[in-house]
Amino acid sequence: MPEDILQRLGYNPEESARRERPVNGSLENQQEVDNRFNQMMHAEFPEHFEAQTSARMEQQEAHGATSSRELLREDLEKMQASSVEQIGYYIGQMRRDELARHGVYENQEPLG
Amino acid sequence: MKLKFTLEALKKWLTPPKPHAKPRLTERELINRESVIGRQLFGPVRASARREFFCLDPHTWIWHEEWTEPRGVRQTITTRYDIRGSQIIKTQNNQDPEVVHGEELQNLLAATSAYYRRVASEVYNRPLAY
Repeated sequence: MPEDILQRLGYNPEESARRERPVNGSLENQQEVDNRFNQMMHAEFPEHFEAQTSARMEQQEAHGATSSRELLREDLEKMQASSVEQIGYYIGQMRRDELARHGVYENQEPLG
Repeated sequence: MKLKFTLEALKKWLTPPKPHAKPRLTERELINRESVIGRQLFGPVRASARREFFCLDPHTWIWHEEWTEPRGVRQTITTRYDIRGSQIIKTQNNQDPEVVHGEELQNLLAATSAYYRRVASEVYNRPLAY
């Protein structure tokens, strides 16, 4: 049980719930969600992504871009970080749904 | 006397049953349930060791390892991964934070993805979102 770890980390359920709310309501925008799905799928299937990035690199190198590899690496890492964050949102949503199923709501009382 | 009995019976009948004494479900309890799965993702743990891996909130993942060295010294490593903007920052045992890159980032994504898939299925019985 990670209870002691949560305590050591100063886990605050109210703060945690606040941080779970999407910034600027981004998750309410389906297009945004779909884009993030696609990003995650790229991260999940790196072979496919590699093929795409290789094609893009060739294209960029043909246009004289010297640091394309570095830029692509940065792009890939941004996508990976975004995918980890998206997974966290999915988990947060499942927790909220489960709590709601048990009659516990965010604005009712602290969750922890 | 008969009237009192009737009123008491009526009052009892109208009073809703007391809620079950079951403890209220909390987010913390759900994190505990998830961590049971999280600790299994990286292979077996020795009997004297302890591992926890869980999502604290959408921006924070925790990986905790504890084990006893041959001389009996207990060792602990708590790694915190914070998602800040488009980067993931790792802090280990309150040392200086560092940005996660390359293979480590790839492994973290694989671990969080596996965590999500198993937790969705085994804790929440929910279909996968992707």
